[in-house]
Amino acid sequence: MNFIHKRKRLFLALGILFCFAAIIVTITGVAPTSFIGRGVSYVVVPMQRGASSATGWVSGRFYILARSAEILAENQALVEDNIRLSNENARMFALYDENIRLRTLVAMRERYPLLPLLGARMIGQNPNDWQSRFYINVGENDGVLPYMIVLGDGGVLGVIHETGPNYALVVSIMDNDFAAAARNARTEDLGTARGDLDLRNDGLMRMRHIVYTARFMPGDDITTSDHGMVFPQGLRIGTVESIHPSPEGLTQYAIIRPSVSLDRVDMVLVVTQLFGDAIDIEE
Amino acid sequence: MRVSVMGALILINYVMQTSVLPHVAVFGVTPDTALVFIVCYGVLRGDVEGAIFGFSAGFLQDLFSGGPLGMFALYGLLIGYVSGKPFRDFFKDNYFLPFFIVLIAILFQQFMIYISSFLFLGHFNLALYARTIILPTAIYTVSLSIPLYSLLHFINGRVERYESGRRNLFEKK
Repeated sequence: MNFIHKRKRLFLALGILFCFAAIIVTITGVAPTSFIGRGVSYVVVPMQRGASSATGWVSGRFYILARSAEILAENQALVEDNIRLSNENARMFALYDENIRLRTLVAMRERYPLLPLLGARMIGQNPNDWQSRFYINVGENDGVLPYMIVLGDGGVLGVIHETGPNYALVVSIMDNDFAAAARNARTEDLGTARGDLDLRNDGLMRMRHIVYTARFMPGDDITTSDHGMVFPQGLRIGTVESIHPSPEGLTQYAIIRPSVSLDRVDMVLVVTQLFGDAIDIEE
Repeated sequence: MRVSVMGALILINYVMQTSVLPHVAVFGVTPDTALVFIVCYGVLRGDVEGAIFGFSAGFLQDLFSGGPLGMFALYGLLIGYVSGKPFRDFFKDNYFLPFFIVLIAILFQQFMIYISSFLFLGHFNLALYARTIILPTAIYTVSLSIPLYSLLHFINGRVERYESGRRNLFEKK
């Protein structure tokens, strides 16, 4: 360690050089780097699963405590009975919630009977507040690959960006890097649905590159198009909130309200099939 | 001993940051506890160890961020190194020093993320990002700096006590 202390400026410069080299290698893709993350994921992912479960357990206990306090205040004389009832109630709510979630997944399976779907659970979120990405508990061992589509309650939730043996990183539709070929289900006009940092806090996204002659209306359904060769035709993305001319005056853009809420993502479905030639080439 | 404890701290912090802290998000932002630990470790142990700690914590975040590998490692390295600069000149029980360094470091890191990842993609609405991401993240993160510094101060004290009389890997002579 004294060796480093004596030459700390040299080591600092080497560290900075290493970081820049790693950034360039990652961006240009001249050498594989994902193997490091895959190795570390065997330690991190089980810990994330455990921490998620523990957090859920603690939240559940807080919920039960809050319910118990409320009932105690209202019915002093029936304290013990009320605690039992509130505990039971909380358990019932948990079962009810789970039931609703599972019903939603079943309904989604029925809505897209031709798609091979795999159920998954969210295990963590990317800590970087500039992005909107999350991790799910299925990975390459389950047949999940980059570019596979992730569906939530009501429509497209995101796309798999990276996979490890036991996890996958999902870029959500609200992330600035998300883009999907999209079409207006009523007018059949095409565009590109993108996450937008400027709109993310309002729960909105943007559809760009809409031809100037298109007649979008608020409330129009926006679905995926197979033009981008990542999505199949017809998966729901959201509804049109408003339509505006683009600054350059050649096209229009629409503000879209996604049909899936990212506020409470828990269970998701992964479409375990890739669409289009572009993906095959990359494989 | 020190390497194991700090390695475990980095790992546990990352798991907490990705699994637990999203449940206590305020206005949609979560605190960057890794940055607080990097600053506090630099303040407690000096520039070299601060830089090593920052590099390691940042590299772990890079591995799973889906972004360019090395970006957060670079921020961690620089922040850890600079935080450790006043190491010899300040009393370690002065809790306001890490508070101010965390404030400066989180603002630096957030602006660097904005400049490196968003500015050149045409996102110029800095006032909006400052209001919705940068300032809430900074306030939330800074509010945790004193308790987390206390925690790290305690852990560091226990490790130093354990290491006294033994071969100390990080002790300057």
